[in-house]
Amino acid sequence: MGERLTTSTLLVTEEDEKKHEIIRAKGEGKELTKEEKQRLRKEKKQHKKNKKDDRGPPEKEKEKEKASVPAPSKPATQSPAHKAAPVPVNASASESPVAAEKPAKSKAELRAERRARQDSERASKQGKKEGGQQSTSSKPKATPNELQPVVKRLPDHVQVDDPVALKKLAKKLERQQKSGQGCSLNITGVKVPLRSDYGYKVSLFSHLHQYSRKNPPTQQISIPVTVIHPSIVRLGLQYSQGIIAGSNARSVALLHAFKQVIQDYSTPPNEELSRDLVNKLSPYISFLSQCRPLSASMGNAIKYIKKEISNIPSQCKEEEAKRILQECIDSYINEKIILASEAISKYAIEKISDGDVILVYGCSSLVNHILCEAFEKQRKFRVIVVDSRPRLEGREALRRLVKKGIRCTYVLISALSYILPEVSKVFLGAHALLANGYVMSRVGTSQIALVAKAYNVPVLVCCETYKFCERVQTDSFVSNELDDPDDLIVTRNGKTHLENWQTVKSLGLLNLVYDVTPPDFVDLVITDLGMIPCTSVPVVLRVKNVDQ
Amino acid sequence: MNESIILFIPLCSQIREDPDVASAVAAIRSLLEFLKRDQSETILGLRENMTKAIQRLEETDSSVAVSSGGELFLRFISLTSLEHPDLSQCKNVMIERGELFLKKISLSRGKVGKLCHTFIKDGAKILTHSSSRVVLKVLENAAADNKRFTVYVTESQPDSAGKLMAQKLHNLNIPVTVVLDAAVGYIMEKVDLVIVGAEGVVESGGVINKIGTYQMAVCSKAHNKPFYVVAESFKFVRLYPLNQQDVPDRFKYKADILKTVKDLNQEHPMIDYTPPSLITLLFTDLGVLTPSAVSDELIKLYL
Repeated sequence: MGERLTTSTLLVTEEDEKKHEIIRAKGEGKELTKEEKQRLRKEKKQHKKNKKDDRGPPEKEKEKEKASVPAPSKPATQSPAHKAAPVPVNASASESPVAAEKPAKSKAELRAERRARQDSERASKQGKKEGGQQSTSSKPKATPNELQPVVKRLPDHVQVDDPVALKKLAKKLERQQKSGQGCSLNITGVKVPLRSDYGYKVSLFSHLHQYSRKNPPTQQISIPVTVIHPSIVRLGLQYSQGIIAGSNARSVALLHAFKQVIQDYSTPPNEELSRDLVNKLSPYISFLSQCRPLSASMGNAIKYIKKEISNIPSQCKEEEAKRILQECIDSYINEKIILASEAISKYAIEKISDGDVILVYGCSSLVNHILCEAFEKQRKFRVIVVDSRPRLEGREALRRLVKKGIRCTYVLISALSYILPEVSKVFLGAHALLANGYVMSRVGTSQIALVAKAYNVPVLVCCETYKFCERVQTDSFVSNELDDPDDLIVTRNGKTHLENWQTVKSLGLLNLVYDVTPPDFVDLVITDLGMIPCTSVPVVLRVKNVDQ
Repeated sequence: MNESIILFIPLCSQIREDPDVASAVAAIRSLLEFLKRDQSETILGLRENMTKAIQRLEETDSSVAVSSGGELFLRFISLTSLEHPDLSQCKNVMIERGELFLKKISLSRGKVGKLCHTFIKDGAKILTHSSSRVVLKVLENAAADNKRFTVYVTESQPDSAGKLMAQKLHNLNIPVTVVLDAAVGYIMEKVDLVIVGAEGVVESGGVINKIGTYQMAVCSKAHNKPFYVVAESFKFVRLYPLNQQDVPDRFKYKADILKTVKDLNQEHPMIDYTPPSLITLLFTDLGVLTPSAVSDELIKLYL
């Protein structure tokens, strides 16, 4: 009887909370999340009413409420729970030894119930959201085993001007450090640091992060690091300081760091490697994305690794599993990056004829490789390297090409229309190829493609297929990266004019990293599958999905 | 090589007997004959001989269609399980598939004609370039459908193939006028649509056709007239030219000129490349395609 009362009071308090939530959510105009929360609550209540005699779940709910996070943010934990189902399951697993004295059902049955509930919620939600939201997250938040399409939300890193999203992100990082611990009890004050933005942001881009290089995220991590593996910390630092730059370099470095992580990993007792390792990787990925937003290629690599890890059979021994994973990573790097660049060079060299004048922009490892290969195959051509501030990456490309012995000219991008009448072809690298045929690349690329089109010079984009992503974007505002604004400050003749730019209230410095080029400006895309027009990118994605 | 003699004879005789047959179809027929008479011991040897045969055929008739048709033929016959232990069984399977392929492509022109003639409205004025058997078939179907239309054909120098086309159309009782190649811009405002054939359809969705087609396409774009291309699917080829210079020399000139002349810069090319941005629709036996869908179909055919 006493328990009955607690159940009903619990339901009442829940209803009040729900009302608060609805009012708050209404105020912020988050229609869909409110609806889904309502449905969540209704279904939960339904479950509880069906099992009125079972006291286990409601008391577990109360436990969970008090133990992990304060009540008002309970919906916050519920909705991310849809995205990463194993996490609350593991949280409940960690709490079940604590709540051992409850005369409830066994832990496995409770876990199964919760999972069934979440599955039903997910299924009903999926039925409602057919068209899906705007962009998919480049960080995969769904469980690897899930075969249904997950609800696509705006990723947190493009909702910086929304305080609710920021709070959610902070809570998620906090939750990750605890779930990373699992059953161990030495939870210190260490957590995945939330980097704070720096400087005044131009209003069009206020939804993106803008960090300062003088403020590395590693400063907020105390020693010893218990949550984040040291090779990941080093990698994050290298990303944020710009030591490792370039799409391929970042992906390869990421995969090598993951190899180290897997090598040093040991399965805790009562855990399965396939599920626990994925959970271990989540805080690392959050940390890396705090250091520098993940690129499309890194996102695809992470998806691949998570899939491989979850496909490890449960009866596999730990050493065997680790060996399999190392081999998978090695073969991924070999196939998708090294061999792909060989295949692309082969196709690209057919397009380079004697007497060509080739224009390249910035430093793309793939384009440099193609040009060096063509030079070795005795093609006679000369190269014009176009460069732009503040990164001045063209100098690195120039260095590599001149070392090979190729004749090069170096100009800044402002001289582009002057130099283009001499050019016979333009070779560009890509950071990612989007599903609607747009090319996402270093800022300045779309400018070059535009001017080349005006002069009727063919534009060739070289891109491996692992950089193809299913995102759709038509402009460079929605999803981009803002680099450190202090990079734009230059000292000439001892004078730095922009030194005190922060004091001028109406001045904003914008240091964009990427831009998107429409497919009308691109004549040909060379991939490891062959030469395709820019509009055929979805075909390749479809073929790849069928293969997998 | 005895094989080369075996190839030349059926090819020449077929083309002379039946001028209605596309050169690619005749080439594939000879390849099939070659396959039946081939004496090699292994499948690898067979493939090598077939590839050499295709090369010989290309030397005889350097059109794009022969090259693409040959490659597709080779792919089609070997795209099946050749796991039989006995070579003669494998050969029989390949011959069977070869006959099937030949039958399919013989019917393709009819399919294209059926698809396209509905786009010709009553009272239409059509402009076409040089002599194409597929366009002729389309116009034949439209005339059989009791549609009234007039046709303008360009003369198409240097071989005056346009006059041949005009003669054929005259035999079908279709009102036809021959215009100079230089008069395309002049006549464009009068016509309603432009239909041309193709020697080859490339990966980008562009077409390779008799010289003068590119001019016609640019003019029709300037006047906002639809520019339709009719082609059978065996003409799809794995080329990707970026501009006119990028088309390989072996397609631009006739085979005998390639062999005899030293300086190709003095010779006049026989074909040009029309980029996909100027083409409205392509009519093929695989359906009515936009230029960007050609790459899709090519991936399906070749991969």
